[in-house]
Amino acid sequence: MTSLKSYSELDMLNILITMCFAEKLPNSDNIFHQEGYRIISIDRTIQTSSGSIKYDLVLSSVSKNVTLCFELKGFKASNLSNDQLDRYKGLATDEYIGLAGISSPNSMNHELQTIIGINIENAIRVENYQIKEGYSFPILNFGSKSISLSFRSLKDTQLDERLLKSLSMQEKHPVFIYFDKESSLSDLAYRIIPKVFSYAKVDELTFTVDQIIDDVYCSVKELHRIIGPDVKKAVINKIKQLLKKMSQEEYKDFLSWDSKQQRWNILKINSESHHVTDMAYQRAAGTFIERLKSGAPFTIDKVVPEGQLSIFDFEEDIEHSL
Amino acid sequence: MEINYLSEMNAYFDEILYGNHQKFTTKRIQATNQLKSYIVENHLDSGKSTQSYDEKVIEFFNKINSGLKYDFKIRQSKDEHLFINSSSEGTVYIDTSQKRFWKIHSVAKAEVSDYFHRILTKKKNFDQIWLPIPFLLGLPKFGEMYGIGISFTEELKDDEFESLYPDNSDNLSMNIRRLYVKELLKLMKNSSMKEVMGVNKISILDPSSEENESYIIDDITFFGKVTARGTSYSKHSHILESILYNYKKNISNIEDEYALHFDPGTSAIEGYPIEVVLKRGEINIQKLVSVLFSGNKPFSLWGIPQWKSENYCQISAVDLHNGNYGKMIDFEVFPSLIRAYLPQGTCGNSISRLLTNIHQSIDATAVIKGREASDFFKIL
Repeated sequence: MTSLKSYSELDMLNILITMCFAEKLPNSDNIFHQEGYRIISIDRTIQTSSGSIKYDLVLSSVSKNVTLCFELKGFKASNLSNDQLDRYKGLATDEYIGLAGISSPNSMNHELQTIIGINIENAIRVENYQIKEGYSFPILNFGSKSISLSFRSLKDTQLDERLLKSLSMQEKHPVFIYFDKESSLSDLAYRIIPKVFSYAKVDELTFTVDQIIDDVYCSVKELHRIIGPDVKKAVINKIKQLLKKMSQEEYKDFLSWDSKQQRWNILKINSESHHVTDMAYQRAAGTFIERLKSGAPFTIDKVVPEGQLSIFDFEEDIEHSL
Repeated sequence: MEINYLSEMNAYFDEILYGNHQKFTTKRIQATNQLKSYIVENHLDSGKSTQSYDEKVIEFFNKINSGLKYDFKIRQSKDEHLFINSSSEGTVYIDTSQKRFWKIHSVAKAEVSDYFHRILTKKKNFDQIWLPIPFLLGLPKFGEMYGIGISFTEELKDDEFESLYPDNSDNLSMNIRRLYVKELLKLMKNSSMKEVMGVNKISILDPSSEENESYIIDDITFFGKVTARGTSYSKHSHILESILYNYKKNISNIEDEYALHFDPGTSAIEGYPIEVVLKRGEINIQKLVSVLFSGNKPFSLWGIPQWKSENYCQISAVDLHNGNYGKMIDFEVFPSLIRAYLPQGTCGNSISRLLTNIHQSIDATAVIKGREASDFFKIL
């Protein structure tokens, strides 16, 4: 079994979110919503007596009294760890749902199931790993055009039956969440730079880091509220680094940090700024991002535009005249 | 006669239309004071303010009048929905019965009324309406097809001789009157050139009947200007209302059903990404992305393309168009698909504008797929 495409953890998360939409999206199936599941949390850490538990995605159905907890392993699924899976294995359901704020009509009979999501080409290896190590988590296999369940059944028999048949999937799946802890500074820059411009164009000339991260994290408004703070923290630190770099390099004329107010100030750009100023801001994006990717240092451009005199012209003239 | 009510305005336009009709039928003189109506979208009433709506309208027009090259002066009529902006070059009548979509009428020279429309739609919170091809082609429902205008401004291909045609930016432009419209539409349907034949105007005839001789011919452009010839203002008004009713329905549909948001109460994600399917063959995706997101007209979207592969790009774009100025829309671009994620609170006009501009300069056969196959911009 091979897949033409190998998904990252973030890709898998976005695909699963598609399956939670209230409406069926083109060429995909909102099976989780249809089966009564709703999103509880994304990447949220819950401290339990089994240890720290952080599922990538938690869905729950009040009507079925079932919670599905997804642990996603992107690309080659090389970071499967016994430590993590042992915690899932030993997890007390009623403790977890209580701490996670999951509604249940009958917490004593509530079912919680951990599902491991992987690229389909890793299915045999992960199954063998589970057999060897004594785990029995169902596996959700992501192929380039379909999703299927294998290894173990789901406790929700209706959902299990549907997933066993293999669901077709959009080849070009929509993206709702843009970052995770693996995102690079340049990944962030593609959204942060336009967002700063956007703030300026509606005359919001100061912003905090918390504000900008909530605005750029996902394309679905309010979804960021259920994303765990520690994964956001990893991204926040990168955004702080990025903004600092921007304010010291290509965007030094456009951004400044107010340490007293703990806010960033946007300079020169606003709803009435001149087109030339706007263009300068926009043009800087290409150079800045290229340097982020290549690691090239920032240098101030000393080349004087043609036709414009520089001080060095005068020095030469003076020398020649002596 | 000073006009103080919408009914008086209607009667006045009836007289003008009839007079122009008589002039043409008896003396073959083409009138210079044809009735032009413009539908304009605005968000003047959004935001917190202690002012009444009337005060906002008067203040707004006082401000823009001061910068106009004609000596316009605004007054409110005795009708709460009618504002009259008069100048020595002509008068513009602003019908604000619907707060979000104004109807602006004038019998001044086109040079004056078009200028006024242009200045108005350059103001923040104001925008023209944008009528994509399926919408225009659906309008004959309200009469008979009388004519069609076709144009296209090629954005994806470069013409090495472009600089030899400084006066005309269109690569293709023609107007066809009723005798040959049906034949042309048949030709277009089967032609390899249909991808570059953007319908920019439809003429509708609502003819006279046995009971009365009143008729109207309305020329409706993709940017919401409707020019009337005939004898019946009532028929012109009916067509205008039908355009507005259908347009509003489509825009509201986009805003209510497609804008993305997470409802914490139900823990459900509502909305639907909007997909523009491009049917034109051999689209250079790099060129497409460059045209769409450069920040330049006509698309007025600025973002930094993030190429995930040679055929897939993500862009977080700032909308620089007046009606949605400064707001963000996320896009994904594939060789034959543009996906837009509309956040809640985005003006639906942005999508009609996107599709209309794609029709006029990228691919005249592009369609938007909604939940049902023919969701978008159909005439109800």
